[in-house]
Amino acid sequence: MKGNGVRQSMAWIHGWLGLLAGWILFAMFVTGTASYFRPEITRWMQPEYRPHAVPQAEAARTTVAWLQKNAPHDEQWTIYLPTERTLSTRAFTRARPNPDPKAPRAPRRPEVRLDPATGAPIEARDTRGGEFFYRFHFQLQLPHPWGRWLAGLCAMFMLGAILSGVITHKRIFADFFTLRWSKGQRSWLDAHNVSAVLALPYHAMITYTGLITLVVMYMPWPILANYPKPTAFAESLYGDTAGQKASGQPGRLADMGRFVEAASAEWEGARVSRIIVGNPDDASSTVTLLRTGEDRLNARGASITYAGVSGARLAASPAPGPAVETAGVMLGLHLGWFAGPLLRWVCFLLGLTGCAMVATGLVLWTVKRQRPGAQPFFGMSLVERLNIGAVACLPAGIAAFLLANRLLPPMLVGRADLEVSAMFWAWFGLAALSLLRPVRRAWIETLAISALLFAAVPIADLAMVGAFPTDGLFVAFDATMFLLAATLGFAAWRTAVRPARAARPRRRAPVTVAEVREAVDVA
Amino acid sequence: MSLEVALLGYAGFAKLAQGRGRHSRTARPDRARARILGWLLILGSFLAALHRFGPYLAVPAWLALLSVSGVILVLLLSRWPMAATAPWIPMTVIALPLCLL
Repeated sequence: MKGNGVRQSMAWIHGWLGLLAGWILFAMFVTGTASYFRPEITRWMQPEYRPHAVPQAEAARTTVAWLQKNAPHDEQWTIYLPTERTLSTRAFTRARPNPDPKAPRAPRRPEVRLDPATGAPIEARDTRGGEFFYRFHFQLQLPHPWGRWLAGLCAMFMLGAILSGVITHKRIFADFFTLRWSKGQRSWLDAHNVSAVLALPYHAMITYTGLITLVVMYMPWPILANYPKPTAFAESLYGDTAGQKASGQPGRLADMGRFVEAASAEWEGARVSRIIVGNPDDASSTVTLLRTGEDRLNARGASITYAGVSGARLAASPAPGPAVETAGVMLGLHLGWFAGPLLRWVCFLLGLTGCAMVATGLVLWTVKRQRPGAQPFFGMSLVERLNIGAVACLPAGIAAFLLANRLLPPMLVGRADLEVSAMFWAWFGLAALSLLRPVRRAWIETLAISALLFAAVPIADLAMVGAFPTDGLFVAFDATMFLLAATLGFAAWRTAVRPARAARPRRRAPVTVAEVREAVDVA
Repeated sequence: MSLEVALLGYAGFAKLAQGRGRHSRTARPDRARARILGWLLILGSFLAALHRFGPYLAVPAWLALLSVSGVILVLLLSRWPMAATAPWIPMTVIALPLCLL
């Protein structure tokens, strides 16, 4: 650290915040970017599933019929109705807790995906699909609640890094369009600045709203201080009736399609996204319908609750106050459900820009500290190796996840978990193997392997599905895989040609004042 | 489609890059004119976003489209400094009828 100015101290904190959280942030940026296409990835990963679209009311009827047959005495059903993007109905059920307090807690049942037309579980290869990326993005495949805590901690580091980075960067407007290739450290700084500054509104928004999404978990104390129970908080804000007790008298649910139609009519034709049925076999059952957030910025839609047996309208969520509205809009901005196809691709590209920002920042940390001819110190080697493991090897893991989807036999038992294992084995395995190679060779080779694996995904798709894809979604997906392969291949090629260029002796013009000033900024 | 917002944003950034003075032998008053036109085009892209998305969604959609057009411009500019800014006229011309669609 040179000097004591604000800018120097900000540069120092920016470097350390970015470094310590960087590797996890890179994984969060990559999986979060993929999550913009969560339903599309799931559809690609179940190529044999081609359902017929049916009205929502029909989907609700068939799903309830299946649940009444298979989980009639459960405490709660949660049904996600199909949309234009998600073609299957998703249902979660929660068993009634065992009245004996010593009995072990009933395990949470896994998600069931049903065909909306028939109400039967869909007959397609078992996979986690896009849900895997979405979950990993904020849970990091760690046990609850550690993953969410770690993700939140990294997001806080990121927010700090953004603020300190803006203060550090004194030539924001002068260098707005500046990107120079093949100039060593300056090129890395240019790439880091450009990817950060041009998409700064996006980076700041996505980091802040991401933190706010789980703020109740990170800061539970205001609710604990003001409400007797956390459920009372949800009830007063969203009209949530999850805490309703069963009467003990048996009852039969009225026609579910009617509820969907009634709610949709009350919302002037807006669709229902989710149905929550409380105590479905009880006389005091409740049916809560939630409005979709697809057509507006606020992702937390209104809800209406009906009595399940009589069909009477019991309650509706109160008109949202400013705080609830703000929280809903922040969630909506983070999830990006409001985005139509073009805007969704734009968000995807901005997410990739974020990945580039984190990756170039991590590389810059090492490039800045390299001394020609000097033996790298331990911390330096550690950071270099972790950079390779995160930036170059994670893409290989993701490609392996998608490849495993096509290469594992479709009816293999436990294949969904095997796909996930394939990702982690490929990711960490490649990172471990790269330790055997010198740093530059390791970069080139891991990037090239990642590129090859991504290029193999569409080939495996063509070979295993057997027919050339006619569905636009499959064409776009395979084309995107080729583009990602090309990008990684380009990175490998650039890494490979760099030393040859740097070694070429250059005749330089006398150093100008502007260049001296820039050199100072770089340092 | 909301492509016109990105096209106008690209055109606006291209003019701002031309007005920046580096790598160009443009005279000073020309550069000032390019900068003013650039800001006007960016204002135009905001108005196009307002027209397309309505007041509620316009700001996030505009910022997202503008950011992506800036990233694409800078990538092209780093490789082809002259050719990257050239298509601002056809882009503006294509964007105007798109606003009305």
